Amino acid sequence: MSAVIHEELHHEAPPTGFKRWLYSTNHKDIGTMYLIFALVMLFVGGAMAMLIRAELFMPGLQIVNPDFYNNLVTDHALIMIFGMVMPAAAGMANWMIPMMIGAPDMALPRMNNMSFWLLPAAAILLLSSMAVSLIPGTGTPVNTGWTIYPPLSLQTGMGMDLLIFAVHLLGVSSIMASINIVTTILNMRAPGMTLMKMPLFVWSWLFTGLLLILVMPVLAGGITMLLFDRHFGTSFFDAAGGGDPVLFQHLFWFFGHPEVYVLLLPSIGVLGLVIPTFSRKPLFGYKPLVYFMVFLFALSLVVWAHHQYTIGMSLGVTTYFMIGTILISIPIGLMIFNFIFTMWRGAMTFETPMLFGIAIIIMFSFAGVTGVMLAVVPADLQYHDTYFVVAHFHYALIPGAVFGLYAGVFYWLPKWTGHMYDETLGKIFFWWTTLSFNLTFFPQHFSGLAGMPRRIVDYNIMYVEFNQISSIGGFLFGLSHLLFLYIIIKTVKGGEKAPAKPWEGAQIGTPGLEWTLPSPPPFHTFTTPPQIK
Amino acid sequence: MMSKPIAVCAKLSLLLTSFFTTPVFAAYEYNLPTPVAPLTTQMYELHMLTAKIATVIMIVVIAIVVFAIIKFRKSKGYEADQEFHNTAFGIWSWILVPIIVLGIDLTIAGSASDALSQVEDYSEADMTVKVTGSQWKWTYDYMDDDIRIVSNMLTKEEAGEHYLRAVDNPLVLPVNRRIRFLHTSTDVLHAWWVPQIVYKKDSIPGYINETWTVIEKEGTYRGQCAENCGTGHAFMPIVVEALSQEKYDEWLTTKKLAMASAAAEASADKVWTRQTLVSRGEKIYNTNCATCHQVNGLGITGVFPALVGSRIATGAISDHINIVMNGKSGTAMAPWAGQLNDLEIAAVITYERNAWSNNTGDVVQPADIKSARK
Amino acid sequence: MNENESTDRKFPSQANIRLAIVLGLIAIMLAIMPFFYLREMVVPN
Repeated sequence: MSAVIHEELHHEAPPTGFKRWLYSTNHKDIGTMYLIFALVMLFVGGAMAMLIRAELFMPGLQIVNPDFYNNLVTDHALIMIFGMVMPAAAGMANWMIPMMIGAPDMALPRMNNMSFWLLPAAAILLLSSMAVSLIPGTGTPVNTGWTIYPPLSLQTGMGMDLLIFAVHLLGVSSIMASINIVTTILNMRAPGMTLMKMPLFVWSWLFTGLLLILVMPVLAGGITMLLFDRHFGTSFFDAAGGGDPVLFQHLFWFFGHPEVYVLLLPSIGVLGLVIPTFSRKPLFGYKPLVYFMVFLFALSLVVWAHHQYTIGMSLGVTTYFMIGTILISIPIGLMIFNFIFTMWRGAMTFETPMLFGIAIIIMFSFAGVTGVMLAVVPADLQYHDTYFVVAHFHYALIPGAVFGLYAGVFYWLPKWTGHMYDETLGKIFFWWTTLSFNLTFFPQHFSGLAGMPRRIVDYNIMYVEFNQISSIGGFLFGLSHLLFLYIIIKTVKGGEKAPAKPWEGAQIGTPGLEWTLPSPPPFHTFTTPPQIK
Repeated sequence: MMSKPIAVCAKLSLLLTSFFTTPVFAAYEYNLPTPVAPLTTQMYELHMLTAKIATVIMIVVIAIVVFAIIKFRKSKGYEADQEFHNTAFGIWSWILVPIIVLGIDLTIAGSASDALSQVEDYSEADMTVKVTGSQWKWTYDYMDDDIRIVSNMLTKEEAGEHYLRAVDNPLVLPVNRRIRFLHTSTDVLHAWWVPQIVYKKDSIPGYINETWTVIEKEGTYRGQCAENCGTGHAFMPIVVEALSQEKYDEWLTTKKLAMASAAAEASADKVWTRQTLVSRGEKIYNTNCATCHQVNGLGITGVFPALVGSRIATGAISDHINIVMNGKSGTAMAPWAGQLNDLEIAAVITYERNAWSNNTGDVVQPADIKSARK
Repeated sequence: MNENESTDRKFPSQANIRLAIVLGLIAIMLAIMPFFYLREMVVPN
């Protein structure tokens, strides 16, 4: 056995054929697979969003029936969160973290393989939870929204069971990926790469991983209880049997709120690299950023009930959750401030990743201020479950998480593929996607304030104007991603050769070791650990 | 909030949309509707305050970013200041920023505390209405007057421009009296919300939540169910009719009389003809049952069973009575024993057994239901 | 002592496995917690 392994180590060329991918233990290959998976899911989830916006283009029922509509809403959320943002961030972590900290590979390479290959299985289960409702006799489609609140989720048909198993698989996958990443970061750093020398992206993933390990199991527990209630005669969430429907909401949001930071933090990490690079000066306040991420990490675990202000909690509890939630603005405010002052007195150039970085600062601030508005309990009793909330979290998650990942894709594409992407097309993509994003979601603040509830398939004609703008923006936003796909394919296929360090400012501040490697990096890197001064 | 840009944006939108659709538009709104109760007024003011603070913060952030990207660009030959993060500003900003943010936070939280304690103020009310959400209608019980109103959505033809925000029997309330609402549900979560007069608290089975209001102006106030409750979530409107005290008293007397005569009619040991029961049953069916089983009785394949030719609707009468009265657990079929009186249940069952192609010829009398209740 | 001096890529070092097991146990504990805390809710229908 050991002879075989010994033999393998001397092959620097990757194995060929499907075995290279199916049996892969190489962090770069697994990273690539994660990123491709995320890209596919982006289009699946995006197609669902297009259907939603097409249905809402006009009042009345045109394209889908109410149950299928809410099934689309449910799966759009789950696919975008678990299928797109998390795998994309995990793919970047797989690719970049070992290279940044000078490790030869991930700490647990075979577990890495398993955590990826669970994802396609989960995606199939999730999509079949939608498809199964087409078969007669399987009951109502999953019309609950991604929060799958009982008792409604106890009424739905077989699709809910498939969805529960899909979420279990996704959870197992991301817990394993997190364990792997945390272990890699803590154990595998090259000599001299102390914690306080790590790039911000590595820090952000350390907290992301720890958060996932703490909250994902709670969701798994919650949905297992739901499964028991549905099939094994328990009454955890059934008031008629002595259970408590609100308990599920607490379990769900104990996971759900930190989950938001799971989505945001990797992108904040990417920003922490992109903005110094293109400002050509070190990150402003690196240490405070790290410490405030600890603060954010801790705070995110204890403010979950601000998603449930309307369930009727006592004055004391409500006040606690309100103040806790408003306090989140402190670490977030400091992050925005530090990114702005990283640009201050820098020598900026505006390549595509930087354009995304600047847009994120502005649009994510906007999500922050509407977040504070929503945190105020008495006002939230009016905003709750309206399109104002929908607009708020899309502003938080699309610039905060998705655009951060786009910035990362453009930032690292030269490193991954060895080719420079087409800068003109990149800039067109940036302007197209940013403007259409705002066209889609800005009007939703107003329809929400005017009283349009979430998750409704049909609406009164007083909401027509804003919904039509929103739909037109949504179609443009969806269309822009075809350009994104084209840019990626074009870059993978060829283009100007990228140097080892394609960005002039990439080694400034607290850089990783990825820029010391050629582009694209060899199949195995840092087999002997590098020395960091 | 940012009224001028919004007005411009709204006008643009009107222009834009007029290219795509022809129907006449209702007046559009872009802010919380004008409040007509003390508590919603407070919430409105709080909303305007936070919205203004948000606007100011956004203006400051955008101004700084725009200034930075204009001034500190390489193309203008600007040299990066590599030691900026080590200046006094760079070293102390981590303490300065949280203090400023905390100041803003405390301002907002402080101004919210009064409204928050008002929300949780459960002092004595002049009248109490129990609001029960069910899939997919609202039931209002006037706790002091023993009146019940069941409120269903009006169809597109009946409702006109208020479609999805209009009901057959609105909740009628007097103005200038403190009204307590008790919220609960018979099946899944719902949320009763009329933005102008009452904020939301969820209707949760097994729970009773409380909200209160004092309506300050007569008028009709509309809202919608705010918590996803399944297939008919979009079709669960709320309408409140606020009347002056005199008009309300008048309405109350009429309503009580009507309820008393309906109850008397239902409990009388009268034997009804099939024809009368069928025609009464059709009305009841269309308001209460057609949401799921559809007006044509065909249901929705795979979701709601058809009644045409079904085992229940054409089989043993006792099974039919049982399922209508007690519902079917684990499905959306609700128990109707508590919601309809004997006559209504008898009529709707007779209708279901004789409508469409279910020509069983069976007649179910109120007396049968009465005996089934025992 | 830094672990990545091991050149054995397919078989992780003892230290990595130990840390992974600890983290995995934390996860499993958290997943079971809701059940223990609420066992009185398990009422047969």
